Amino acid sequence: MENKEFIVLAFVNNQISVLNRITSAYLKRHINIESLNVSESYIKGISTVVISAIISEETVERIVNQLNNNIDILNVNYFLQDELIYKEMALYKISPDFIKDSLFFNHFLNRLNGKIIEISNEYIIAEKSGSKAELDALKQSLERKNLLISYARSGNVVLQREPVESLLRKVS
Amino acid sequence: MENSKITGAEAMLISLQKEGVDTIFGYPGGTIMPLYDKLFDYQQQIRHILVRHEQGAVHAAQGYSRATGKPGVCFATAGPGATNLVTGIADAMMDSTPLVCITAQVGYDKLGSNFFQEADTISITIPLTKWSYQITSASEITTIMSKAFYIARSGRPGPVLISFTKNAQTELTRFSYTPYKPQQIKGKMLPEIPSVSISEAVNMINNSLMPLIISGQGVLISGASDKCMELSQKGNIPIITTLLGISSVPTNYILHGGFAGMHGSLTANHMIQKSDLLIAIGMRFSDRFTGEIPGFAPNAKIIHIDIDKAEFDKCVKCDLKLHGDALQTIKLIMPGIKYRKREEWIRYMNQVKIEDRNMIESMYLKEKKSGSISMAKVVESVAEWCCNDSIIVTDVGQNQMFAARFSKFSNPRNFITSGGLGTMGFGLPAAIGAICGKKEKDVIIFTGDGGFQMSIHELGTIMKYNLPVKIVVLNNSFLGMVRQWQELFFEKRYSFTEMDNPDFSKIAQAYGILSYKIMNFNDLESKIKEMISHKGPILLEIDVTKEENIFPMVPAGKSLDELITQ
Repeated sequence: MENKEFIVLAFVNNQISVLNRITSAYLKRHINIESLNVSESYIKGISTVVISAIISEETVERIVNQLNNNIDILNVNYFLQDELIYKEMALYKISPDFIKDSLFFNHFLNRLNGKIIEISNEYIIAEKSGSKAELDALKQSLERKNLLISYARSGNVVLQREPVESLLRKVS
Repeated sequence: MENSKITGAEAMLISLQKEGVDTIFGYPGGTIMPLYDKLFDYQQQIRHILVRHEQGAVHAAQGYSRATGKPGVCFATAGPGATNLVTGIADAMMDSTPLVCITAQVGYDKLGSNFFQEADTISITIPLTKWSYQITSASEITTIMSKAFYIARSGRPGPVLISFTKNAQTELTRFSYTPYKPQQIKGKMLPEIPSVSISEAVNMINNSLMPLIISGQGVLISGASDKCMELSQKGNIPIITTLLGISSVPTNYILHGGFAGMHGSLTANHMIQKSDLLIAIGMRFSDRFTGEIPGFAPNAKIIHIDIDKAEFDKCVKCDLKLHGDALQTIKLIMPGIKYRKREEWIRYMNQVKIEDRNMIESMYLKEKKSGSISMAKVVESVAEWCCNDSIIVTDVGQNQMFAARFSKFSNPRNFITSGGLGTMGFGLPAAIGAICGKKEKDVIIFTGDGGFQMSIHELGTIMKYNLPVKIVVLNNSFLGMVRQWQELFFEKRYSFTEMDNPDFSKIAQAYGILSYKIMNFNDLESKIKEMISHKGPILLEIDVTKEENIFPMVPAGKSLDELITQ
């Protein structure tokens, strides 16, 4: 079976050791986790865990089945990227020369919907959210122009394209 | 009211009593001393069996649980005590055995400082437990313990580990106990099986010419043995078992074909390959059961009944999945089942049964010219003379497979073995656990010279409590199963499988256990009779044929058709 990037989305009790139980299901099958994000969900005491890994559908199904048996995991499912609203945020530390390249700078602000957070003599910090590909594209253009000093990305933040009522039914 | 408070240690012991615990297997140590100190006051209420090694404690708890159906409980101290439990916990997870393992942990404020005997027990056991929790305050004890027992018992049972910090053992708390009520957070714990699926199952069964029930351990766990038999009788459907499902059906039942799998009976394996409908109840299609998957049951549709959704389609793709408790699901199917003659199918079964028996007779049961004793003959003789309600415990290896093939059972939960994990050294402590749980029954353990030495120290436990375990050591001075594989698949290169053994009967005598060493075929029967009638612990060391193989056998990577018989 073909390997693809599958995103596992789990609603879990916000408790010690839950995350380890989730990652151990990947470790057990010798799978590398590409991205992982844990954050509070819209329900108090329940966290959302988003994990992506490049695996076959058969494997992700087994992982989800195993996780489903877990006492502290309330709901878990897997998706392909385009089945979810799927965003990441990146911070770019850029050389102040960035501003001098007015064409690029304007493109960044107006077309790419980037934001400037901080400016100093040594660097500019810019922020942009988007898909992994969009963030990568900006990173590459900055690198090409030799402007990028440093770079950090959040994990995936996702929302299901599903009515809230049905989600609530699953976890409450 | 300070005086109405009790220590965490006492709260733990009362919680165990509330959950109906009467026996604990354990071993004390530094960090668990407050709990043991309180246990000293509770000796009348809770029986503590002091084993000789923590691994013995956890295997004994498994044996106790498998014999009684109740969760087994064991105590161990922090660090090495806890890590010594790991093998048994992994074994229990594989074989769905409910356990509550309580291991001590250093005080909350010392966690992470590499304190004396600190080991991160929770992390170590995460992949091996159904649930685990670290109690760091005495006030948590009652809620956590009731949840722990609920989780261990419910659904597909499994091991739960509770790490009990030292400060929580000594802190004072007020005791109030309310049984755990699961929040219905995942919807109903077990969704109802749609009636469409039930009627589909009924139709599939009624229309099948060659149906076959496979009874797995789930049948034993849910107490569905009788119903499973009833289903078989009502529809005239032959039945076979998995290794762990042995004893779910009486051996002498006319439609019983034995157990299937790598070392299963010829009958069961042939029937799977011939059948047009498998009704798999409470089993997980393990690789040792199915052989190579593409060749497994080529003509059969499969109905899979299991309580664990994760087992569906995991190894073998099924045509109909019924997610539910074995007993309840069989009850739903039962009313629609019609009796059908299935003459050809029954004739086929009887024919392979005869073939099977002839093979066994000629291969194992006749006295050999050399006068050496076959393991099969030993097990068969024991089966002949022992009470048919005896509990048979095995270790792992050839002794296990001979015991599984040749023992006779009439009641459920009478066969205890390590299946999924195949843990050598499991047998002796598991037998200790079984006899502690079922005092009224005879407990007979078959073990090999290898596995016996992995937990030989537990003879000390048998001596101390005078446990009437009947130990049969099948001594071939080899790690027999590995040797068999080396003979068949590694050109007889016996790499490190020959054992130089001590005189086991003398070792038993040193522990004050009556023992005999049997070298001669003619002595076998009389000594077995003596063993059965003896009231206390007894050990028979039997010198069996040195290079004997267990057949039929399905080689690894082959399908059930390709079994070899010599």
